[in-house]
Amino acid sequence: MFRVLFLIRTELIRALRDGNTLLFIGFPVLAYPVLIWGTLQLAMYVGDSIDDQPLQIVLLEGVEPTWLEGEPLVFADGGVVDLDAGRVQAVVSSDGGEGVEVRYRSGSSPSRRALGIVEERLERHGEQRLVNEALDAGARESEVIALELEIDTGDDGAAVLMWILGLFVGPLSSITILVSTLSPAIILFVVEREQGSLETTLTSSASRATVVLTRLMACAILGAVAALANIGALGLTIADLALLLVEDASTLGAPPLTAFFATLLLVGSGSVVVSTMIMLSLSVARTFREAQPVGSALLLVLMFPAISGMLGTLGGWADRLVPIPVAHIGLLVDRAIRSELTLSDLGVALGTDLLFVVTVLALWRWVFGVDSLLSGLSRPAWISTLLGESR
Amino acid sequence: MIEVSQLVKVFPGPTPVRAVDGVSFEVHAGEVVGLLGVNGAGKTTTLRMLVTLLQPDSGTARINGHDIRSSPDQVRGSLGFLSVTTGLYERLTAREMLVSFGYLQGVDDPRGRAEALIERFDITDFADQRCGRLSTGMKQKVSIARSLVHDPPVLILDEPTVGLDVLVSQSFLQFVESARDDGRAIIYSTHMMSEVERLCDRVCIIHEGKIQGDTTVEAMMTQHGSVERAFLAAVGP
Repeated sequence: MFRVLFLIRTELIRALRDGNTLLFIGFPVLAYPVLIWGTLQLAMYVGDSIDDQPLQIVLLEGVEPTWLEGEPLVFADGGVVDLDAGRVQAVVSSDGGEGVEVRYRSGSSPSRRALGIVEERLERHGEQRLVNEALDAGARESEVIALELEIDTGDDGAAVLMWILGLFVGPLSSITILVSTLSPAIILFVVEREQGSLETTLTSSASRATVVLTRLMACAILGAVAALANIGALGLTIADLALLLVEDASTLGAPPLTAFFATLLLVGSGSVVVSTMIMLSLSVARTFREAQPVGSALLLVLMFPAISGMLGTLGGWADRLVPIPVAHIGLLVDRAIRSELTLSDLGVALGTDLLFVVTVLALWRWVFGVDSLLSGLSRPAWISTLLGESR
Repeated sequence: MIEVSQLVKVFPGPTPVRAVDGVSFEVHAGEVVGLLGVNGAGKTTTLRMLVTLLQPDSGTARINGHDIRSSPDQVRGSLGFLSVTTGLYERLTAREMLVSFGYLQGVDDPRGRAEALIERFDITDFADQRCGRLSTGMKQKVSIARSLVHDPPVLILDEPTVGLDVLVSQSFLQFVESARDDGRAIIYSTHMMSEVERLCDRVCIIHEGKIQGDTTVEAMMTQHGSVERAFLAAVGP
């Protein structure tokens, strides 16, 4: 066991001393702070611009104006309902019951700021009201968001941020595993064939299975580390943004410790699946040049399950993805972070991953043999002729 | 120590190539046997079967008592293989390379063994440099140390001096002589007749996949005057 661990460590060292591996693992961690800095700069710039503009909120008939009194609001009455032209930031009217309707332009920061002020005043006065969609009053359909907000709870911004986090953490973690695993896999499986060091390894007394296992695990570990770094960096970025931009974000708190362990399991298991698929695919390549298009093609194929979690969440069919390897990584990591992951979902995901890897490797061994994973698959004569190879 | 019996290897294709066709020979402990042949004669294919990189189609061989077909892991544990194509891990240092091969070969104390080899082959000065940055001579020293990390009783050397300068070649030949004196059985495949004359006790001439002659260097010299003439007499038109 110690021997295998040491050999995995050796493979990790070899992979990590390649610039490509470091780039793929480090890029997300470096990219997110740059992203947050850029976003904050933009937010400050836009904020400054917004603060300079006077807001105009139009009250229609039936609305008590008292709760909207005070600077910096400029009141107008009737007639001036021109959301499209940008001169009016919100239109408030009675919905006939206890609530009011607020119409605003979703794509306009001043308009959203006006909405925020109306909501704040409503809350301050203890008004129970409903914000419904408004398509008349001059706003284009694409610019109006219909929202049903419970102002009293005050957690809408945080919920939206969590939704965004969940939406992106899935595909990003899956794609990071794919990209981060490919580079070490090419180094450990293909470049060795090209350089001749593989032959050196194959003449050692270690079994072929041990050699394959140590390389596979090194790739999986690097993929998992990259994905965890990616999830952590994305989480910290969104948390920082939330604290700056959303008043009640601090109420969210950190994910529970169980989420961390569940994420570790899911990402680790997913990395083994991805590494296996990459290893099998690279058995057709004998040189670095051949490995690049093979790896790129596989990444394109695996991109579909990687982003399917996001599509499933949006489309409402995410539960169907739980038993599908690769597709369930992001989906269940998102649920783990929200503390919504069930033990049965986790068990199904890990079980299907294990079943997939064992089945695929057993079939491969039966059809092509273990040696082909290291030495590469024998090519049909016509391919060798096409590539101008000699025996 | 090495018993090769009727080895056959056919490479399939539109016109199958019978690369090795019933090769048999023996090598005893403390003996260097040269494997001579023109390019494509079947030398490398034979050696690759002996080190279990290739599976023979028929026939077999026993290395240190282990059959290459039924006990390939034990066979590899009994031999050190060095060829012109056996590379080093470029991103590992010489020391890391030796330690990791110690683990791969299942050596009891890989670090201690690596240090002993570093000292024996005068690798100390560059032991912590990555192999990719070493000169050809330095790499050759590390390769030799790597092939001996598990102290194998059998050495299989496939054109090991190709690309080496005269000084490094001389140093390598001295290593082979000392390995023979240690009692190892050595197969030495080469095109260099002078090396055969200096190192080998016996020579197997292989041509078109078949052994054309298996005799001592002494007998060759007596009969033909030189190994080169003996070789040409065996394979010439």
